[in-house]
Formats: sequence, C-alpha cells, structure tokens
Amino acid sequence: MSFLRRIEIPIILFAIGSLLPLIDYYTGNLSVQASELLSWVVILVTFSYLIGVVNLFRYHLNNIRKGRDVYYSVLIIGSFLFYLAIAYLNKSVYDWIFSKLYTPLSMSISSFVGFYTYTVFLRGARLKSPTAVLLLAVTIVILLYNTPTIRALSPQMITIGDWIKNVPNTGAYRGILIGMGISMIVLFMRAIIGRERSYLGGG
Amino acid sequence: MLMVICIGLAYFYMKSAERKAPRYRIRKFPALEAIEEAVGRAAEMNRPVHYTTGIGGTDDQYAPMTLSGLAILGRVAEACGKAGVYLRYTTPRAYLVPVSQDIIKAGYMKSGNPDMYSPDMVYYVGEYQTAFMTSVMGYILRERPAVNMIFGATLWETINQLGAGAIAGCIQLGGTPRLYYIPIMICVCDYLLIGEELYVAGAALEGTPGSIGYFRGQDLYKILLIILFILAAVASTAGFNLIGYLSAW
Repeated sequence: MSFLRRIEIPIILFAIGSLLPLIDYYTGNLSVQASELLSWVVILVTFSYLIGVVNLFRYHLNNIRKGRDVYYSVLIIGSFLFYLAIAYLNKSVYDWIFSKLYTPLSMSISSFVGFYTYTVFLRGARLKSPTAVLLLAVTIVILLYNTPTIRALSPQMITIGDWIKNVPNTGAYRGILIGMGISMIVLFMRAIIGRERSYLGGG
Repeated sequence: MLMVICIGLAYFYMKSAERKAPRYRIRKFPALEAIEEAVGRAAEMNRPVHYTTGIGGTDDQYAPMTLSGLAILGRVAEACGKAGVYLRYTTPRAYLVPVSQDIIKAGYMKSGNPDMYSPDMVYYVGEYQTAFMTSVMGYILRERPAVNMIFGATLWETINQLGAGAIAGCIQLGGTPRLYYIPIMICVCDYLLIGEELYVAGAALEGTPGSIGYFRGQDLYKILLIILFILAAVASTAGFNLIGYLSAW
C-alpha cells in the first residue's frame, strides 16, 4: 500500500489538530501554533466549496442527461451561473437580488418553523407508549402555561408549569448534559488514539 | 484533565480485563437495532432511504456530533447495500462530500453490493440553513423515501425536515445531543438516540472489548460524580460549600 494511503496518517493529523488547541487552552504555550492551525482550517474549508460546486454540477447535469427533475436542475444551474456572473459584473444587482429576493424568501421559509412545530405534533406524534402520552400531555400543559389568556384565567396553571420547568425538566436537562460531557471526552479519546475511524471511510 | 485520566485508566484496565474474561456487555440501542428493520421496510416498498448528519460540520463546535453521525452512516450504507436499497445522504458542508462518499462506498462494498454505489448518493445543498432545510423537505415530499434518518447536530431546520417526513409517512430515526430539539424528536421519531447515546454510537456499533472499556470508563466516572454530588449536597446542608472549595483548589 502506498505510504500516503496509510490510515495512520489521517489519524495522526486528526490527533495533532485536536490536541494543539487543547494544550493551548490549558497551558497557553502554543497560542501561535493553534492560531495558525485555525487559519489553515478556514483556508481548507474555503477551498472545499469547490468540491461542493463540482458535486452540485455533476448531480444536476446527470439529472438533465437522464431526464429526471430537469426543470429543477436547469433552474439551479442557471441561477448559480447567473448569480456568480452578476457578482463580478454588477454589484448593485447582486445586492438587490440578495436583499430583495433571497432574504424575504429565506425568512418566509424560516417562518414555517412556527407552524410545523405545532402541526408536527398532530401529524407525527408517535403515541406508542405511556411515556409518549405523558410527553404530549406535558407539552399541552406547557403550551397552555405560555398562553397569556390561560395564565390570566387559571393561576394554577402557572404553579403547575413552573413546577414542570423547574423540577423534572431541569433535573433531566442537567442529567443529559453531564452524560453528554463525559461521552464527548470518550469520543475524543477514541478519535485521537485511532479507535474511532468511521469518518475515514473504513467503517 | 482528571476526567480524561480517569476514563483513560478505566478504559485500558477494562480493555485488558474484558479480553481475558468477558464480563460485561453493551446494552442494545433500539435506534441502532432498528436500522436493519427500517432499511428492510424500504426494500419491501422499493423506496430510498434518506440520511443526514444535520447542519453541523467538523470545523465547528458540532464536530463530535457530526463524527458520530458519520459513524452511523457507515452502518446504514452497509444495511442498504445488503437490502439493495438506494441511500441518499444530504449535507450542507462541502468538505463532507468526499468523506461521506467514501463512507457510503465502503458500506456498499462491505455488503457485497459495490455496483449499487453511485457518487450521486451524496448531495451537497450549499452552506445556508434555509437551503439545507428546503432541499431535504423537497426531496422527502417528492421522492417519498421509506425512511428518514437524522443523526447529528440539529438546529431549527430539523423541525421542518421531520415534519416533512411525518407528512410523507416515513419511518423516522433520529439522534441528537442538542437539548432544544430532543423533545420534538421524541414526539416525531420512531426510534431515537438521546444525548450521550449518539456520541457512543460508534463504540456501540463496534462492540469489541475495547469499546466496552469506554463504556465502563464512563460509568465509573459517573459513579464518582454521583458520590461527589451527594457529598456536596450533605456539605451544603451542613453549611459548607464543598464545590466552591474544590473549584478554588
């Protein structure tokens, strides 16, 4: 096997890249090297956009060739090329498209979240077990707790809502948080000693 | 640092002890066990499987979550290869394209079905959250995959993606340590990895004595923490701020 294809090389790179900022954080002795490393990350990520563009073009050109979702693919490639060209040819049109077209569309799409949050419970709630029913009941209570009218009509709802938020919710939240902290260290250790290598493609 | 040393020592001790005489076993995670079943259903329905590791990448604070998501992707690709199911992976991070292509290719090769793999199984949607959200929603509502899996770092886009999955009638498998999105995932997903379960998914899938060592290391550290909490509660009741003293020390 070629030296450059050996699996140890990316693992060593990963370990160096992870340990350098960590050692700097605790000791403050490697700040120049850690800062340099972070600059490399920014440069590498910026160049990686090219990989994304190649993937996007290949996917959509394949679609056009196979006659699958042709209109969408033509629209995406056309928009991409147009916007890329306009960025260099006419900055004011570029800014206009961004502020008058992209931003409102993006905000409209984002506002779906509010509706989906509620409809998702109706459409997708999997009430298969008593705990799922309990969860839904608590969700309804908290929903009512946050409704001004209900709060004004029923002061008991405030007491119940406060108790749910401060006692079971905070307890579970902290328990999950502590478990996550420990597991993250375990994952980090597995990665730097080369046991977690699924991200390298070997599985 | 103390935590790293404790877990490290427990790991090496347990690893050698488990190799000599296996005593412990890793409990089964329903979400990981359900992968085969869900992919099997996709095969029966002749529909694809959709997978994403969420909005996070490996260059930000979400890196551990993304790595864990990629670990599961390997297993999903292998299951899809065995069942002859098309897997679609969507990512908003360009540098994850070659990484995930390699993982999926390895999975299909392991399953003995390398011809089924295509680089088009990985789809890059651009770095913006809105683009990622709408792309996944559009794919789910158009193609109607049988299974929708989201394992990794999730932000608000997940709510809409899971909503689209619910409308399309997908089996939904999820996992995230992001606390704000765990409740919605509990409600919508059929199987879920909560919090730390996602981080240890790689070790759980491995199931070797070494990985049992990691779990035992975690357990021992949790026992230490519980003892510390009890001591701190007793000391606090007696009027002594133990945690404050330890922090100052």
